[in-house]
Amino acid sequence: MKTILKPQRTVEELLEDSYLHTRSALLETAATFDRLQRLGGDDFMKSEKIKRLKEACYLIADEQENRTVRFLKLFSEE
Amino acid sequence: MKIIEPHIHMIARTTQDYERMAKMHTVACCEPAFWAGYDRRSAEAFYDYFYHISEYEPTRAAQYNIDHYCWVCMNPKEADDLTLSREVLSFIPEFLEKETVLGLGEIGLNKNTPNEMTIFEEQVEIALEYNQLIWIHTPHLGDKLKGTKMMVDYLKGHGEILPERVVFDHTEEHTIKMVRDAGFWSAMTNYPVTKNSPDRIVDTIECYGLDRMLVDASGDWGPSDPGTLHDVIFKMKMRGHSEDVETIFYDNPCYFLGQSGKFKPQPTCKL
Repeated sequence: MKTILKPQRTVEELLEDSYLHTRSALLETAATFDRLQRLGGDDFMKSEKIKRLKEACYLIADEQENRTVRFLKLFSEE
Repeated sequence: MKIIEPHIHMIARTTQDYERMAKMHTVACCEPAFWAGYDRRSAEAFYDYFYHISEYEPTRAAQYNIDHYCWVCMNPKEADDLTLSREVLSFIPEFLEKETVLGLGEIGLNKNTPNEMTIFEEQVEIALEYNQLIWIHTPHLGDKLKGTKMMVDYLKGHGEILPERVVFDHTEEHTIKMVRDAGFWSAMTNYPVTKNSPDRIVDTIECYGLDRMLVDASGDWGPSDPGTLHDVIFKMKMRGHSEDVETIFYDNPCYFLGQSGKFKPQPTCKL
């Protein structure tokens, strides 16, 4: 039984596969923030839930590994 | 409720898609001429293609009580070949006489090359000479902003263009304002991943209003679906805009396409 599977594609191929989907997901996120700000104003954008979403955006963009686990923990109860 | 699909490539869809569209209240659809997924090898291939979309597709659609209309042109993805393009342009007037052909489309740009722009300009002149509507394809992704600006600037400076007879398709948040400010119609396309989405389309309608606004699915041979048009309708309803659905998805297409003198569906309300 294999304990891990070695990726069979190059990193360039994986990026090519996921680039447009990732762009699309980030674009939807940007549009969601615009929508919420348009309806709720600047004060709403300082609410707790929005702050957590912004924190998640920063986490995605930082240089540290393990983004997925850190992302999920950010939205987890202690 | 009645729905019009302003942009779909039915040549690439199955007959079952017509059945699904009919079940989803689609009463008419329009097929702009575009790339076939490969570069055609002769002008004759375009002639056959125009014959297919102007003569055969209407009979297939009619089985489901859907009116099928089309547009003819040299599409931007193959317009870089000036010799081939001009051969194709030479027989476009013949097709403009057909009763289901609404005008020149989807003309436009792909990679914003000088040759593409030359053929775009020559097709604008054909549209003017034969008093035809114009349906414009704006480029995808990174080429969209520059290409849209090139065409808007050209048409604004032309001097003989009536903007209410021109629609720019595949507009997004960064291009729609310049199109609308210049008086043209704008269309948005709900196409997975590379174009727009239901939520973003409803956002834009909320911000810019109903006037001169169209929505389409642009279903083709790619990973697309005629039902994505109805995903936007569903989203509009979910966001509380049920009473405006028919304006966007039926009356507006009637008003824009009705300028051709050939489009039969009639609007249910006055502008």
